[in-house]
Amino acid sequence: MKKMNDKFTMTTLAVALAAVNSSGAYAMEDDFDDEPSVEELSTPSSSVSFGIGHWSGEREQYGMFDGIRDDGTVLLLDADINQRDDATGTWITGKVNNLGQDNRDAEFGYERQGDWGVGINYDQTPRYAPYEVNTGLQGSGSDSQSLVTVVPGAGQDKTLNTERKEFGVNLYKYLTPELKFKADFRNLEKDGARHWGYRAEAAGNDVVFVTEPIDATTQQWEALLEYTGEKFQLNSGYSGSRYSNHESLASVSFGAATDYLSLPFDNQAHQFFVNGGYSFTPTTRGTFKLSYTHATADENIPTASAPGITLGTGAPTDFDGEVNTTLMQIGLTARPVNNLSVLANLRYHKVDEQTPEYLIDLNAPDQDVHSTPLDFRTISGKLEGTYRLPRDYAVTAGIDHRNQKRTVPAGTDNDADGQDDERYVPWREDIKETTYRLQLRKSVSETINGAIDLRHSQRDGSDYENAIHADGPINPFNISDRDRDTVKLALDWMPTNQLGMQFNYEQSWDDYSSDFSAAEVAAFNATLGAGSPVPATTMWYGLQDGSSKLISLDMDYVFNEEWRMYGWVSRDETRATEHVGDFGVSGGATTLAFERTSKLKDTGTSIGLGIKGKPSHRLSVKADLEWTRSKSEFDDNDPSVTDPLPDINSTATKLTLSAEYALTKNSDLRLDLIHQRWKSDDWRWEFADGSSFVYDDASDGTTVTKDSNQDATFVGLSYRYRF
Amino acid sequence: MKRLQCVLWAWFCAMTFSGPMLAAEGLVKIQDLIMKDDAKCTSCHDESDKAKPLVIGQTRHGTRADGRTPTCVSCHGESDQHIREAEAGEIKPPSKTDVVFGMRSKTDALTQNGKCLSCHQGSTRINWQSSTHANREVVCTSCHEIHSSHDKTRDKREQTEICFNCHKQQRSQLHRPSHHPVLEGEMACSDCHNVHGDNPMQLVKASTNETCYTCHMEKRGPFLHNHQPVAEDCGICHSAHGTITDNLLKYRQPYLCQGCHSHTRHPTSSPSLVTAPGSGRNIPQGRGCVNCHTNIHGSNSTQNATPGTRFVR
Repeated sequence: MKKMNDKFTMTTLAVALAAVNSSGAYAMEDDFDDEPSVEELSTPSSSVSFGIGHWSGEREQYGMFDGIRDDGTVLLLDADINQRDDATGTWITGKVNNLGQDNRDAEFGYERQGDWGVGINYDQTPRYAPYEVNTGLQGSGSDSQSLVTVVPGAGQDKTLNTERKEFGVNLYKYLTPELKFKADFRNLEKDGARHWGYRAEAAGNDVVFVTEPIDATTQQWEALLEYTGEKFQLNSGYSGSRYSNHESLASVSFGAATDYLSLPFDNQAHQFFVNGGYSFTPTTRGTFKLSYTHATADENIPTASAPGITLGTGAPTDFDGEVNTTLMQIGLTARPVNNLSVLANLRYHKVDEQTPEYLIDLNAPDQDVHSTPLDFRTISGKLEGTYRLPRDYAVTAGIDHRNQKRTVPAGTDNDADGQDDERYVPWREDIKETTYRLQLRKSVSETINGAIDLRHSQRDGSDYENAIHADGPINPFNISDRDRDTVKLALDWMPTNQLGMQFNYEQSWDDYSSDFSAAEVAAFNATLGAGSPVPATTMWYGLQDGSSKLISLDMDYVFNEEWRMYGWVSRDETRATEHVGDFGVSGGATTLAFERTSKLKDTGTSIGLGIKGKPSHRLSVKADLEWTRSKSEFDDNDPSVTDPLPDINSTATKLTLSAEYALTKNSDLRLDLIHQRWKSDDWRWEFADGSSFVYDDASDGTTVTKDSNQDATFVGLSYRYRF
Repeated sequence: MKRLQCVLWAWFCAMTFSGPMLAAEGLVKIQDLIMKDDAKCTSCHDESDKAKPLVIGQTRHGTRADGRTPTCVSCHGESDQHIREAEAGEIKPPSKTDVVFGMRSKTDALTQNGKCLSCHQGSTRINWQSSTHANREVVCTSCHEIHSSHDKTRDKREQTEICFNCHKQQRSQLHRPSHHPVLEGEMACSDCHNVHGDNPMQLVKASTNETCYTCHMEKRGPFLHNHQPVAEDCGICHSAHGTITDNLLKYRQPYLCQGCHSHTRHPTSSPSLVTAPGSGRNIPQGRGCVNCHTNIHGSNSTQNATPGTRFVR
């Protein structure tokens, strides 16, 4: 930058040079050390890069989403195209990532800015299970599978994976300067096999391994008009979606028996929506939203015609699923006086399932089985005010309220003995939750900014409707009474121009109000048979309390124009206390068979460190280290258990080094080195002695093996050309 | 040597041709460089400015053929005092422009964002004023780089760098063993969140489930046997950003399931590790409760009694 009254600017020089000696100008462009010209600075640039890389080692955990699980060579092909015709404002754009790998994506666009445009995109994402399976299962991933018993380890090795391939096309056209038409279409193909399993009666009701066949097409399309005026804006249109499952029913043959596992029906939805806003004044604005969605799942029920299956008495053959969802919302934001801004909104959201309530089976007395259409109607509102205090402080106070009405189809014996013998979990018809918020912040200081945020919320609801598998009180944690207190502290401090620091602390406490009242104890005891013990404690079953905490510190230090380092460390912790029990029915009496209180704790510690710089004009380097350790603890406080659940510790380490050397002003050579390490003692797929998990060896013999220590190294070299 | 040649040529040409020609017109006028009417700014803030303001020419804002694109003063204001002091050269640095962008700017958020919203209020930003970001005085330039050809918020592989500036909890969660592939660059935060909107949790759709269904539509149902929390809110059991437990579950089974399902049948003892094959039920290993309750998201089985209602078929 220079003073305005300089006579001979770089621009003038460049113009002069271009006019008199174009070859001279060209020579200047080709010189790496020259300052970029106006044209170079203002012309969209493009680049292509290609190279080769090699992975060595094991990376089943890190490779879940790129499909590279062990040694392998990959092509490194990327492109970023941005070409503009300045005269017409016509753009040709393109972006290609990982073209030589399984997680490739690409998008291309052609548009005349402010007039019309079209675009296409493709995105492919694999998802691999981070373990190996050895099994006798035949037909994995298909709708017809056959389970063959094998000696553990003597079956075929299988890697379970799915793959998403999404193709999209979009277009827009300005019909007037204010009115824009947009349309897009997405087609997602998902294919593969996912870990499943089921309880096989022919195997003595033991669990056996099968795979979930994944072969489906999901389509989404939308057409809308966007009006953007000075004061009034409106979006309105139609969006549709369709899920087509190419597999209707999974059959598993096991010896002479065949079992059937149901799969999701095809479904589709059509939505009409309007979203608008009007600015009454520069600081007062009203908004509204309306949408209506009609979703259906209408087809023959495959199990109804499956050979050899024992159907429920009176089971339907056709399904007429229907769910209608309505959303209405209005909102207002205003600044009635200069230092006060307010926000209010009211929202109505109703999910109304109109599927008929089908009889599936006649069962034990009072326990017929029906289908379970569910409705949710939620009305929520928010009122918030912010007052700006002197010295750049602001205080925000707000209240949020949510009122939900939930409809569950009543069972066939809802009134006789006060419990619904078709439902397994008690439910409530009404839930209410109110949250009070208060925040103090300082937000426009050049050295220190921050906020303190306090919240308290209370949730309660109507009386519980009792259910058959809960012969006493249980608090399902999504509908239980709950008090939640939250405190958040954020501090952003920049003591010098070179050093910036951020500190964040968040903690919340949940109390699920779990103690019995005297009346509830009496009512509960009345449900037990004569001589039955009351629970050992007076706690409701389910979650008792919980908490979460996060402490995080970030730092950024700029040494000079060339070098910068940064780092962060976070530690988070979640805790929960859960109380469960088991009641058995014997001789007409309900007896307490078992009760426990578990304390659960998850902790995570993450560290990130990085430095980047330019040792020379031509060389840029960067180094990043990420280290994360997570731990799960399970304390059941039960000395009778021989092999209690051990803690689970997992550590992920990733070191990334890269160097870019500018060969010319328009080309670079890039070297990437990555080292990844994963260690975990997760027992999910292990027996107590640490050996691999084996499904029932008498009837299945499938073995699942994970690699607890994975190390992988990547070396890549690529060339990039910019134009 | 080439550089010296260039400089000499430039000096010669400028002195010989340009100067007299401009002088003959009675002024030394600097032309607009990038945008319409930018000369009053670019006469100082030119290609030698280290902040590289001219890079805006590479962006949509710098496409002059589109008549809607702004001038410098459209966003920064006329800034007369700034220009006067710069011309006089007596106050260094001169006072700032009328509108200065960024979190640390003395220009209030309403004014800063008002400049952007004067063109960008439509589309997915209709509800910006009632969004959480707006009401915490987040300014557009807290996230977006206007004078850059590469706005990280619009690059799914780099977007998290911006979001993590404030959202530390989500950064921690995404580093957990089970997570959506955001750090891998396969997804972006904006695939699920419209940060300019006022939906719950600033989601792109009206509810958590509608958002999840855009990729996981097989869970949409309806099913013959709906699992109530599944139909209500995926977030009851899953924590979308990341967890220690596989499949983004908040807690390991059976603890998660027993948050609702207790009192009869399964919790006949505390969970413990099985030691050998053949004891495949009621165990925390493998897939846990869903070893048997296979179709936990919903069943369409009409097989007799329990298979559907307990999601085992």
